[in-house]
Amino acid sequence: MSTTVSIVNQKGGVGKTTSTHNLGYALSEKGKKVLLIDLDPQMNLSTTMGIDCYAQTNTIFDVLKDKGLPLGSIIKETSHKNLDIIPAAFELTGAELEFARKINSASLLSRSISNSLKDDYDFILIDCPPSLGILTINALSASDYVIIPMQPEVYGLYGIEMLLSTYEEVQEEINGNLEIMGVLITMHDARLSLHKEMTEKINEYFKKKVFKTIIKTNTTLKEAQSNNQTVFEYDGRARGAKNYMSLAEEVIKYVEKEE
Amino acid sequence: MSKKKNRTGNSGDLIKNIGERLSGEKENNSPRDNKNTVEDEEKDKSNDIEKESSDPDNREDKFKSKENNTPQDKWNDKQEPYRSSFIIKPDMEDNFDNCKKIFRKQLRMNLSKQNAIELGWLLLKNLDDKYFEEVKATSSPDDDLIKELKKVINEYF
Repeated sequence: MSTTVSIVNQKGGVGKTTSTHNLGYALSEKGKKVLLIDLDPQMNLSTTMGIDCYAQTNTIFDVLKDKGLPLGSIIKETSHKNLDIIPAAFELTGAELEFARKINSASLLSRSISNSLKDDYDFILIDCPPSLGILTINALSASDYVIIPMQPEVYGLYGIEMLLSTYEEVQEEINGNLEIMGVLITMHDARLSLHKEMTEKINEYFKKKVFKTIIKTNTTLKEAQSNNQTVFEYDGRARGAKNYMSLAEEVIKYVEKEE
Repeated sequence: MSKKKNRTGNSGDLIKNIGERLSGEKENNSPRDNKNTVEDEEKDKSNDIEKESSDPDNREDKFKSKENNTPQDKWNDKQEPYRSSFIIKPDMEDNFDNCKKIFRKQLRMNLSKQNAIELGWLLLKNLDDKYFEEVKATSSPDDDLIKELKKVINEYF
């Protein structure tokens, strides 16, 4: 049975997509079968993985809209063993209007993830849009755990406060099993005293709810994106690759401990 | 005094608030302050499950008493006794909170409210209307209805 993890933060540019892509790749390198779901209408994850989102016949939007269309039918295999993706669709930009009227609009994704699909994968990672709208709520409803990437800066903290309220509501109303796996500090620049001090405080107060792994600022991560690759494919020796491999180990350890 | 000495400004308070909410979330899943109460409650639950699993007669008695001693309904007889897949591993004994959390998760996973609703929905979708006509015609609106529905489900499967 797979473990479903949403990578969420309504603040944009904090490393959600980069983390989903690289964590997914690192987990697959560790021998885990991974499915990535791109729920972000910006489609960055899908595009980076070489998918032409406009050329799809059936999309994730159609699956959420129509109960009869199985989620498994829109899975795309990637060039990397053990790593598959459900691409985003341009139509997701209209998801709020389309789905808000539906009964159970918050559980559309969780209903579409069948048990057989869960048996096929060890991890399902969901890349969420930078908002707390219906798509993010659907992701949270379908997930076992949440990873919250954040930059160690004050705007990131405001974002987490708002996200926690949504998380608490979903946990109370829809998905009692949902749990925060941890806050992931991203884009940490060790040269900045602000980042150092913030990270110290975050570690002090968040305690076990913050990953030991810190994703340090690394140009190679951005260069890899420009080349539609993970950091592992672009330069496996880069610091970013080491950071994401360490995160994958932490995630596997956490899940195994919970089981 | 240089302004730069307070680089994080009010962020410390924010971090503290968030940290408290995060640890509250953890406590909700495994409250530390009710250790004895919850421990007892879970012991009881485990005992109940063990009793039910090992003693089918006891389970049947309970079932009968719920139905006001109506003639024995075999609907539940063929069901496997409920067995949790929860196993206490040695490391859990050292980490009781974690142990409790996993146990609760197991219980929820076996039949959550959502599962129950979906199961009901599936049955309603798949059962022919004629069965419901039968139920309406033959059952009273109270407890009998449950019994009759069980019959229908039994017949259907």
